[in-house]
Amino acid sequence: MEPKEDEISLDSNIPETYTEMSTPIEKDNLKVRRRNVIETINFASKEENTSDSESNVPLVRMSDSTKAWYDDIIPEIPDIAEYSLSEPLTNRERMKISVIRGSVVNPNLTLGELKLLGCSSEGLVNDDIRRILWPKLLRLSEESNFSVTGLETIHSHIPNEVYQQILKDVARSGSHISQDATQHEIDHFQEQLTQLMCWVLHKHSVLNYYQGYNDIAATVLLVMGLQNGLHVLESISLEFLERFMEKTMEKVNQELFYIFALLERVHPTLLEHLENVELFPHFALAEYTTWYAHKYAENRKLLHRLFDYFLGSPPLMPLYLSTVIVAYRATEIFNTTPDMGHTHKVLCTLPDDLPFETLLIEAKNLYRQYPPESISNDVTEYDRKRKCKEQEWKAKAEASRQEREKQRQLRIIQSTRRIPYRIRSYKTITVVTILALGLYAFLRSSSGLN
Amino acid sequence: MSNRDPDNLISTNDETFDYLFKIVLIGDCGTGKTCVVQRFRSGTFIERHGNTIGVDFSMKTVLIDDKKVKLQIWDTAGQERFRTITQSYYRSANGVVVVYDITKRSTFLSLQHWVEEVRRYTSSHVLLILVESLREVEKGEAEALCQYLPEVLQVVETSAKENTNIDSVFFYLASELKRRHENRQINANGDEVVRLGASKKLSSCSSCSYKIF
Ligand SMILES: Nc1nc2c(ncn2[C@@H]2O[C@H](COP(=O)(O)OP(=O)(O)OP(=O)(O)O)[C@@H](O)[C@H]2O)c(=O)[nH]1
Ligand SMILES: [Mg+2]
Repeated sequence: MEPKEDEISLDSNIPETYTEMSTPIEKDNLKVRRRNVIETINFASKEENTSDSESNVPLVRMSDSTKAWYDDIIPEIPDIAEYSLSEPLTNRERMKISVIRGSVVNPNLTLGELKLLGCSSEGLVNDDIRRILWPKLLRLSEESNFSVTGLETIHSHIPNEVYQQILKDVARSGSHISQDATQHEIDHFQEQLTQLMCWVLHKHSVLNYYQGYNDIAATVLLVMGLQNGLHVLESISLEFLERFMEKTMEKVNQELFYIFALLERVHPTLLEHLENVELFPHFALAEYTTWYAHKYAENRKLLHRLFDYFLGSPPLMPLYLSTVIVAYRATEIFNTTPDMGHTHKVLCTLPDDLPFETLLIEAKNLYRQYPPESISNDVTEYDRKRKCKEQEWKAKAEASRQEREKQRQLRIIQSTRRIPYRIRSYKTITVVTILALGLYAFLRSSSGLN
Repeated sequence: MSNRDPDNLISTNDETFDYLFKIVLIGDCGTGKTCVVQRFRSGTFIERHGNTIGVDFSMKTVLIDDKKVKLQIWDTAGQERFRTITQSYYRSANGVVVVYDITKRSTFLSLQHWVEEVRRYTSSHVLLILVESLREVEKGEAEALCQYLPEVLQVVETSAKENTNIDSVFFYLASELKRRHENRQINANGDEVVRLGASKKLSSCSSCSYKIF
C-alpha cells in the first residue's frame, strides 16, 4: 500500500477522499487544495490587491504598513551568480530570486510586503538572502551588527543548572550538522550554539530555557553565524518564543488545542476519530515549539524555508500549519491502528514528502478564516475538559491508593491478631517442655539416688 | 511510507498478541531513557539522537513462554517543565521504568520525587522498576536504594552503549506482568493487592539486583 499512497497527487485522489466525508467547510477547503502551485508565485501581488478588503482580519499586524527599510538603507541582494550553492537552482527558485531582488530595490517597500516575500512560494530561497533579510523581518537596526564580546564566559552569568541542561541538549544537537563534519567542526558548532543561547538567556532572565530552544538556535546559527545570530535569536525569542519560555508549559499545553478547535471546523470526522482514541494534541508539541527544527534538522532546505514563513507570520501560525498537515494526512490516520499510541506515533512522524508549499498557503488561509480570537473560547473549553479528565485520573489513582492502604492495614490487623495467639502457644509449648524436663530430671535424680 | 520506521507503525498482519502492556519511562533529563528504548527496540545505540520533546511512542512484541506479549512504550521528556504534559501518560500504565544516571548524583536524588509522581498518577497495580542507566562505568547503589524506595520491585544496572541488561529490563517487566495477569485471573482480587505489597519484595531486591533470571 505504501508506494501507492506516496504517489497521491494533490489534484486527484485527495480531494476525492475529502468529498466522501465532506461538510460545507471541507468543500470550501477543496478549492484551496486544488489551487495550483504556480499561482503561488503571484501570491504576493494578489495579497496586495486584496489586502484592503481584508484589512479587518488581523492576520497582518499593524506595523506591517510601516516601511521595511526603516533606516532608509536598502539592502543589496547579490546576484544569483554570487551564491554559494550546494545544488543548482530550479526555475521557480530563480524566478523567486528575481522577484525578491525586484521588490527589495523599492525604497517604500512595506514590512508586510517583505513578510509576504518570505511566506510566498519558495520563501527567501537561499541562505545568502536570508542572512540579509531575516534581520529586516525582525526589524533589527544596523547597530545590532556591532560585535559582541565576552561570549566565552557568558555561561557563568546564567544559573548553573540551566547551563548544565543546555550542555546536555547541545551535545544532542548533532543532527543539525552534517554527518561527515570533523570533530573540530562539531566542537566549534557546539561551543557557538551554547554561547548563542546563553547570551540571550543572560540578557533576558525572564526567558526560561526549554528543550527545543536548542533546535531553533541551531537553525539560526547555521544561517546567520554567531555574531549576527545573537540579535536574531534574541528577537525571535521575544517576539515568538516567549510563550514557550514562561515558568511552566501550561500555556503551550492549552494552545495546542487550537489544532482541535480548527479540526472541528475543517475536518470534524477526523477530530472525532482523534478524540475516540483519546489522543491529546501533544504530537504537535515539538513542531510548535521548534518550528519543525526538531524534526527536519537534517532537511535544512525545507527547514530554512519554513523559518522564512514563520518569521513573516503571527506566533500561532505553526498550529495552523499542524492542523492543515493533520487534515492532509487524514486517510493515513484513519488507516492506522485506532489507538492512542499508534496515532500519536504516526502524527509525530512527518513524511519528508509533504507538499509544503501548498500546505503553507492553506495554513495562511485557515488563519484568515478562523483567526485565533475567533476560536479561543473553544480552545479554553477543550483545555478545561483536559483538566477535568486529568483531575478524574488523579482522583482515581488516589482512590486506588487508599484502597491499597486499607488492604494493607487489614493485613496488619489480621497478623497482629495472630501474634498473641502464637505467643500463647509458644508459651504453652515452653511451659510443657519445662515441666517435662523437670519431671525427667526429677525421675533421673531420684533413680540416681537409688 | 518509505521513509518511516517500519517496525513500529501500521503493522498490518502482525496485530495478534496474547497480552498488551503499557510501559512508561520516566527520570531526569539526559539519564538515557531514549537510549534504553532505542537499544531495546532496534538494537542500536545512537549518540546523535536528540532530546525528547514531550512524549515518544514505540512498541515491541516479545515472546514469553510461547505467548506474544506486546509492550507499548512511552518515552517521556525529563525536563521539569514538561511534567504537565508527560503526567497524562502515566495513566493506566502497567509498568513504570524510572531511570537515573549512575554517574550523576542529582539524578539519583530526584528518584524520590519520581516515585512520588508514580504514586500520585498511576494505579496501585503498577509495576515499578528502577534502571541505573549508563553505565559500564561504576557500580550503582542498588542495595541502599531498595530500603528507601519500597515501591521499587527491581533494580537493574544497564548500559545502552554496551547493551548490558537492556533486554532484561523489558523481559522482566513482560514476564512479571504476564505472571501477575494470570494470577489475577486465578486468585481473588484481595490476594493480589497483598501480593503487590512492597515489603515482601524488599529483601529479594538487593540480593538479585543485577541478575534477573
Ligand atoms: N556511555 C553511555 N552513555 C549513554 C548511555 N545511555 C545514554 N548515554 C548518553 O546519554 C545521553 C542522553 O541520553 P538520552 O537517552 O537522550 O536521555 P533521555 O533520558 O532520553 O533524556 P531526555 O529525553 O532529555 O529526557 C546520550 O546522548 C548518550 O550519549 C549508556 O548506556 N552509556
Ligand atoms: Mg529522551
